[in-house]
Amino acid sequence: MTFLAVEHLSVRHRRAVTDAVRDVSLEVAPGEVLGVVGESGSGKSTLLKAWLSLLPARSGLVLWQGRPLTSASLRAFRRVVQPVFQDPRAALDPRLAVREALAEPFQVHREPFSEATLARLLDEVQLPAELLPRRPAALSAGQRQRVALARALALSPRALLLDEPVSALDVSVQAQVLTLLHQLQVARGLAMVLVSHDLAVVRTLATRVAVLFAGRVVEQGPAADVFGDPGHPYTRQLLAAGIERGGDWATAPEPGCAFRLRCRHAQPSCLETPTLSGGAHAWACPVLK
Amino acid sequence: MPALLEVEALVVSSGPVALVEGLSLALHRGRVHALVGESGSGKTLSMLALLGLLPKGLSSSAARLCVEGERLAWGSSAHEALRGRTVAMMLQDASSALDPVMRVGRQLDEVLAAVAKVPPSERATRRAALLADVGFHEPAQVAQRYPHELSGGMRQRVLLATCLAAGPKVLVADEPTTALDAVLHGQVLALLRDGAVRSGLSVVLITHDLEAARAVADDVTVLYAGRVAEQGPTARCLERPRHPYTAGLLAARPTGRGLPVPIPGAIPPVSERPEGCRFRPRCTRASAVCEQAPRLEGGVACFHPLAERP
Repeated sequence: MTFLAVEHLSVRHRRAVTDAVRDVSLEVAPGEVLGVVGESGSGKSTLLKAWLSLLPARSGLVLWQGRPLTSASLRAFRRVVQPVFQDPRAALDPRLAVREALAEPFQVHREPFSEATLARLLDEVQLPAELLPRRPAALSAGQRQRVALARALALSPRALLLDEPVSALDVSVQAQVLTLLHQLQVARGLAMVLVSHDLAVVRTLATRVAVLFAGRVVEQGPAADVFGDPGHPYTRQLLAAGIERGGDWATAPEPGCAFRLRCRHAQPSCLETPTLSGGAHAWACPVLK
Repeated sequence: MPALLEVEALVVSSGPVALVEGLSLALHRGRVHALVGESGSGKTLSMLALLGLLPKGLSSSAARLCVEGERLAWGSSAHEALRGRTVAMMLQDASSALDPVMRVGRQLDEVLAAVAKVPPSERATRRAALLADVGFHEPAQVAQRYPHELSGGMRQRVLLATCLAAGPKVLVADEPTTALDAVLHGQVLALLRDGAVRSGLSVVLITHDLEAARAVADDVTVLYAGRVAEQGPTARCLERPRHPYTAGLLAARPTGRGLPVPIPGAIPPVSERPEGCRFRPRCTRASAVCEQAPRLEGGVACFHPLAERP
């Protein structure tokens, strides 16, 4: 049974003329970390928001425990599928002390909790209980992100959907949070969808990877395969992007492969929109098969 | 060869509190100098001070300022006059640094006219050359665009062109790649490197990204909590670091090969900076002697530097 997935998901922003996410199908299993990479504007964050049902889909479905998400199942879904965003400053109410921020999910879902429950949550993200009376402004950026994480863990979720969870943090703190995410994921058997523009971050945590370009999945597979032996020309370029010169990057209009203007393998066959082909490791390119 | 620009013992203060203490830099033609540090290390503040652009309430001083062999008094009008002409600064956010209601070409023309005093007849040629220099294949088309019609990477390159239009000798680039993704990131760094190599520009790259510094910088200064931890050629500082903080930063960077090794603790806020070595509370090598502030000697400010591997 499908644990958590999106099927043929397309999302269009208000007043936009094209879809930000185009016909995306992805799945994540318990204990698995799906990394989603792509450049800015590729639709990564939009995909995550639609997956969380925070943005309406133009077409396609979010699947949870084998069934399409409905307004009736949304409340249960929200409880067990938790988001973690880039900027904990925005995720935490500046007026609420840590104690109140952590208590809120219990109150919303009418669950019993005690001071010890809250302290235990902080302990799980390696923060001392002394922080309970503090407000976000009195915390460091790393501490704020841990509090946001503790809050996401409050109701024992089954999955975390994370959008650039360490991008706003300093390098020395980034490593602390990445290590913590890994430990929590293993200890709780969480499923994770991790969106990041930082390939090294995704590489550190992800077991499977999907590469997004212009709203479409152009490649997906086990992390070791995608990073070790990329198939799509875009993935190859993304991974090789050390220091190199390029022209005026442009995204080509559909139909056709959106990457064709930037691709040195482009051929007339690229004027048709390619589909993913391959087994566990698949990519969408008619030229490099 | 003497340095193009030298500053010695730069201090930036907010009232009685020193935010940056004793930063000395020697910038050379054709070289990229990376100023590396995490938030609050003082990397941007020290460069704003050099340009006389500090926000209200902050003050700065330096023991010496020397430009092309000529000594200038810190804060004098000669020092002020460096800004824009001799030293240009490319700010972090390209979308707010460009005028949203002015075509790219006109923005460049303004700088060419006002700062570089290029006569009107030559402006179109200079403008096209500048846009080509920053990697645009069709400069004439780009000149007709408004900033919002360009991608983030293109805007960043236009901003770079406007900085170069004044013909500066030193270009300070503040986190030029933070807002960009991997592909564009490499492009902008390559452009900075090119600028230094081809036109003898001295580039100061302000960054928190060690990989960026490693990729393009000839020299590196690692700042921690307002003080220099380590300084020297990139090959030595980032390949064979001696300061425990530099080594820690390198190990903390995720590489995808196993989990990164975190540095324990957090960067102290200015009000909680410890006495002595500022890195002491987070350092595994710290001892009693670290309660004194270490001096920068041989490129490292540490009483217990890591052994230099042969």
